[in-house]
Amino acid sequence: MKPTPADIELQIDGRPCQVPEGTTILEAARRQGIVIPTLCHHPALSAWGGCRICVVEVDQAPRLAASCVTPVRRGMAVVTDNARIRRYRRTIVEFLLAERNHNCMFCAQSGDCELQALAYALGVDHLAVPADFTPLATDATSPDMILDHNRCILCGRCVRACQEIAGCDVLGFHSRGEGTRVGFDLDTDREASGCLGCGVCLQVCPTGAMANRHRSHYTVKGHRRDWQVKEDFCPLCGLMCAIVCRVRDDQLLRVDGCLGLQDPRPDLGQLCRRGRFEPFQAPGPRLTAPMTRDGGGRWRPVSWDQALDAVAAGLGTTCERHGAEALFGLASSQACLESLTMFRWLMTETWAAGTLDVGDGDLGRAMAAALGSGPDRWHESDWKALARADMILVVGGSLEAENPLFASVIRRRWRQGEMPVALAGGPPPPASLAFDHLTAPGGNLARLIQALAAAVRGAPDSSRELARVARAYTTAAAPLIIVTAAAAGPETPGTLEAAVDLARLRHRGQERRLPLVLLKPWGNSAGAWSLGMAAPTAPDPRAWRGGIVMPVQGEADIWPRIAGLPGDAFLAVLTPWMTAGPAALADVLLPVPSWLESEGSYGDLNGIEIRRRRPILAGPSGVPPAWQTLRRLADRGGRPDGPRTWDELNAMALAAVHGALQRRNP
Amino acid sequence: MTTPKLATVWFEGCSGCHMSLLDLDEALIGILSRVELTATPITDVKNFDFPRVDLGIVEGAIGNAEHLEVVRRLRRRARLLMALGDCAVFGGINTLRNGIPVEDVLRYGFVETCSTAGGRIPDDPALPALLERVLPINRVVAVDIHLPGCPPAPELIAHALGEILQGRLPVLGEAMIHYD
Repeated sequence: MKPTPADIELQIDGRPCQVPEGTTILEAARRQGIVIPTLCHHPALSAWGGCRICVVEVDQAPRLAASCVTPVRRGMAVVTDNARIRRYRRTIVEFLLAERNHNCMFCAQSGDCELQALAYALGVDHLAVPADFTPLATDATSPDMILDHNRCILCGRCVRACQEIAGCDVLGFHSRGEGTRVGFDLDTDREASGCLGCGVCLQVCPTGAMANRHRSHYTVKGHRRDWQVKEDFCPLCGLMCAIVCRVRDDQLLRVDGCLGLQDPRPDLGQLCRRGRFEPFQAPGPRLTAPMTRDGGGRWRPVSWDQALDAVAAGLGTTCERHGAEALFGLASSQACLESLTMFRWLMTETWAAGTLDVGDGDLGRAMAAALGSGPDRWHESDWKALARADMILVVGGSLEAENPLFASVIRRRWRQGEMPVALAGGPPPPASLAFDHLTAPGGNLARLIQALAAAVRGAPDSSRELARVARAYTTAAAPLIIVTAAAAGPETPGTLEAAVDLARLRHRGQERRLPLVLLKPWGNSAGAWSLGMAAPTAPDPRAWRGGIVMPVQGEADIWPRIAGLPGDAFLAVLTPWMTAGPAALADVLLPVPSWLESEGSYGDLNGIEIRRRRPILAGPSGVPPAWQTLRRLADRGGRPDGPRTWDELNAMALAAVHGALQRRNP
Repeated sequence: MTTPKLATVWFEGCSGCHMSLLDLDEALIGILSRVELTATPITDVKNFDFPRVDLGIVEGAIGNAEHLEVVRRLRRRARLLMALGDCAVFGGINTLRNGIPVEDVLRYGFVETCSTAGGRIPDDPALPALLERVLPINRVVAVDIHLPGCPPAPELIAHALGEILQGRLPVLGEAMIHYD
């Protein structure tokens, strides 16, 4: 690389180099491939200069300089390693080890700890300073994480990550001197505080102070050499966050985000509580064999042939007695596009079922209706517009509950003073976030949004609050309306249409793209809707007499819809788990892999980007992918034609989704 | 040159470090042919009146008055003193009782544990009294060689003994240091 005029020339360990002005010594050394050890430094966080492990010698000065916070100077001669520097670093590590109780033998982080690795590298075979041994408190109030003050070195990475990445700012230091502690909301329990449980503190902690409660015991975790590291994306909400999974013996050990990416996303590569910890929570006992009911209604495992025959017979009988109109297929929008494609083929081609729908079909239909059709159709904004937006209006619901990452980005940017935020309806924001909060008159959210639109149009009788939000919305260069799924539901009718109308007031020129994003309930909602999985009109469950449901992980919106099935109706369920819903209603249970164990394509929050993910785990043996089971059901139904391989399904799914996108964006 | 003399003691520890020493297996034969083992829990001969030795090896932390006296005596008689394992080097698991008053520790251990009925705290004057705090041995006497690890790997012990027999103080490289 040619030096530009602004480049600074210096020498590091005798090697001449040029770096841009403002670069730190640490950064300059790393560019030269020279390793300077660090502890409080983290590439995704601001420099802090707290631990002094990264000290270097500058121009033979008697005082060493912390390289992570010292900018380069012209002609500087830096030495990164010699006996004196090593003595300093070793003493620092000894002080850190002596200050609290770093008993590696009983620490979940042993073998994966930056402090321990540094102590080994610096040859710390004993402590020359007396250890303190005073036992400190542990906060185990969270179901997912433990804060153990005994292991804390006060490096402040968690504090900075909570502030700079999560935008939550719940972690901080309190007290002084040797009494200094990291604390939630100054000094309270994690669960009693405003902590959202995203676990970014856990990811950046260099020791065992922030410990994972899931699979972190050494007998489970094993050694670093036993781990496989698999990178993919999280399919749970449509933001497709990059995940780094540690696996040992086909058991998931840990899920991390991708902090410090070169090209960061709006959320800076963090994960939310769901993405980091939900993979460790089984909703019920795992199904590993097909089950049918015996004469007494009790579940008993049967062979796959018996189970598939039972499904074919059940659907066949329903068809004979009540006609194909009485058959229904209901899948979750959490399923991948390939499974959904096979599901559709089975229900429509094999059985000519009267109903094919997804659990969140109502929302899909409402969104399609609100956006219009044909050449008059409007489009949602790409969710990444969040990074460029300079005014946010959240319509109804709780953003924290529906999409923690959206909430995180909004909090962070609001704290940085970059943009006004207004909440229309929904719960009031916490006291620390002085967002505008408009309450819906009489709970009528649609009327509130219509009133806001009227204020934007310049209605003279608007309240001062309404007028202020309307002004912020009008004057912003790139406002963005975020409609929560809760607000778009049947409890607040007309809200989605009102929000679309409001968004149309700020669309630009000939563009048909609205400054509006709808949060969807499931990770593949938009993909499933593009695939045409949402029935064109709301189906009537009273006509249903037999069918198949495929909840995968997404049960919540499926069970309410079939709760009213008559007692003699036939129901087959494809699910990884034996949960209350299937156990109560189903006649046949067919096990399928969980999302961690399956391969498949997903659409993002807007259904524009389609990505394929690979299995992280192999899963239990004898449980084929959902599409294979559906394929065999089609064979049993007398239709051996149609897609027979994953690749064919993938091609069919992509063609259908791209076709839908083409029709939408000619 | 006379055969170097060796003594080992076992204080507050689980004997895992001595087990690791025995884990040297056939290499032990070579080492034992080059040293004279004078006092050690391995032979189960209770001889705490150490002769002068070239190397004293300590497993375990200092937890009571007897440990304190024995380690001081061993230090006086040994040319080199080695702390073997995490308990001797850092205090180890025993230090979990530091910060809890001794009376509470005794009451919990002898009276309050759920498997005890009618327990009482032993008060025979012949029993050594617990110290207020468990300490690593370098807080009590000067230590020449530290081998951390729980337990230290047999290879590490072999390396250290080999160096000492050649008249050198062992230096532990990055790959040799382990605290777990």
